[in-house]
Amino acid sequence: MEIDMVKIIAVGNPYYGDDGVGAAVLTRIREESLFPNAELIDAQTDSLSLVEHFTNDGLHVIIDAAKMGLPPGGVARFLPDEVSQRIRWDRLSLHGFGLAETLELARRIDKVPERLVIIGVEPEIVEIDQGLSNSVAAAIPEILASIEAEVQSYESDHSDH
Amino acid sequence: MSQNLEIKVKHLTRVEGHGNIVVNMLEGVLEKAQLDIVEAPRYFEAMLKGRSFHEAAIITSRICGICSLGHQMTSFKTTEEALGLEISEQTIALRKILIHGATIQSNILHSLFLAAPDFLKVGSVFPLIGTHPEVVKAALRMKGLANDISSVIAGRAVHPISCVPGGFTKLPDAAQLAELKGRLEKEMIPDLTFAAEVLTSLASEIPGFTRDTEYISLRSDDDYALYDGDICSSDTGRVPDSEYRSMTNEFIVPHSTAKHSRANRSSFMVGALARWNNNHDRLCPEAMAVAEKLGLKAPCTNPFMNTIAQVVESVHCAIDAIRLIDSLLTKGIKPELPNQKPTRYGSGVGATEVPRGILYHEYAYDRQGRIMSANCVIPTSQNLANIDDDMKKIVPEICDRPKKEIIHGLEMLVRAYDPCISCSVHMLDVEFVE
Repeated sequence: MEIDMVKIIAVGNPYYGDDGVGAAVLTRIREESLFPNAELIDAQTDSLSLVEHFTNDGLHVIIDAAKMGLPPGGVARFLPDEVSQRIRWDRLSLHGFGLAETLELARRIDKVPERLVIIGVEPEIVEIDQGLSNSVAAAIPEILASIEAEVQSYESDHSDH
Repeated sequence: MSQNLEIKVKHLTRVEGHGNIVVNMLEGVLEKAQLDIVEAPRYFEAMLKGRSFHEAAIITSRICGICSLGHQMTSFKTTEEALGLEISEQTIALRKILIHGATIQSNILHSLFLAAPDFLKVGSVFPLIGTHPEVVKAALRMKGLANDISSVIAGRAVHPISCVPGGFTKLPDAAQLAELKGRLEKEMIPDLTFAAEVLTSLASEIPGFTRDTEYISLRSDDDYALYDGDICSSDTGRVPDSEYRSMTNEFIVPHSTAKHSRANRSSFMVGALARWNNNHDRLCPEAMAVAEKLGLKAPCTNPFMNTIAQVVESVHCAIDAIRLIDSLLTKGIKPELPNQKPTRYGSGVGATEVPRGILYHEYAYDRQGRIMSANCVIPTSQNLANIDDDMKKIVPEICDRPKKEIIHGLEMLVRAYDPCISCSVHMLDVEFVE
């Protein structure tokens, strides 16, 4: 069975406390050799560069710390159309280009993948330091399970029955 | 003429960080026209204290996600001078290519995504996608190639990792460099040419404001100085970079958490327009041809033309990067290890032209190779006094226009400087005066 590429994309600054949740998830995936077919991309704080990583086919999963009004460590899955309603604030502000603006830009130039899912994680501490808060670190298994669920669902949709 | 005018633009958009425009005019007399900087200070210089020379660039590059490479290069040069570390011609050539990539990336992002919407009188880049989708795609392509230059030569697109004090921990191979060269020729040059054409069609929207000021940039004998050079003032000529304090004279003003600077007048300008004014004779013919097409002449005292100067020098950066890669390929990449054996422990100053102007770092090391004190002077801080002086001249010139138009003109002026406010704020003792 031929599986299209899965891209797991982290955005955020690992030196900014919980903003580094995406990078921490990628590290865990590498350590435990999970998702062997996936391409792991750390876009750091350059949200605009996401557009360069987007392809029309394949599954794209973006992991980002975002204020969504959940308790710290809360994990939510949503689609590109919901970003501006769900994310109240994220740290990706290179000249005001956050995730919402980037996805809008990608949409306008027809570069949005057909299957793009955002996994948002509610931060507790967003300050210059090194390391995640306990509540966000404790959410990593749940984030990995969410990614796993996305990959499963994508593969079942694309398998040859 | 409007006798009374009160403007307060909170959190100006399409700039990096937080600044407010404040203008008060009472009975025709201008009382206040300034850019208030309200970004919180972040104490980077204090963070450097006690750190080893291996860590200085890693920490300072975090001052900014856009100019991280510029901070790194400046940090390396400062450390290398302070510790007496000689670096090779190959290291210098690779660093220059990295600077070219970073300059193109930042300049293109600013001119096409942040400033061009002003020329079209629209609020953001999104309407531009509607009218000029190809230029947005070209900008993203150029940004992608600039990222790849950094990935290939320095190991990562943002906050590079393989460039270190004394050289590189991993070197690109000839095939990778040849591929970059091919993409610079086949993608970057046509994309830049296209971007220049689009901006030429918008150039009539650039305000015809002028104010004579002092222009300060690096200058060197043999190239368009970005990586290194003497400090050059359009008023007083060249001095070595060790004299940077007399060329910046940082001082505190109540309305800004970033320090202001002055040299021979009440303010001076740094950045692409200052580089153009001081160094246009060092640009390659292709860049000069684009300057002519875009109506940029030297000397130019219109700060709004900074955006145009950014595009012109980006062409030079692309052409010069191709030249540097050619020369590296001809000589062959030598498997050098970084030179990290200090021959002394003292002080050093590093000055680099980063997209927004001259960036200075100065460190003093103790005998254990730890930083005792550090000072960073950021280009946006150097421009703040000049922005205020421009505002004081422009407000009386446009005060009879509708308020909305005045506000747009002032926002456009600040944005023309491409300020990176997050970088520039580094004050230790802040008191807000209401």
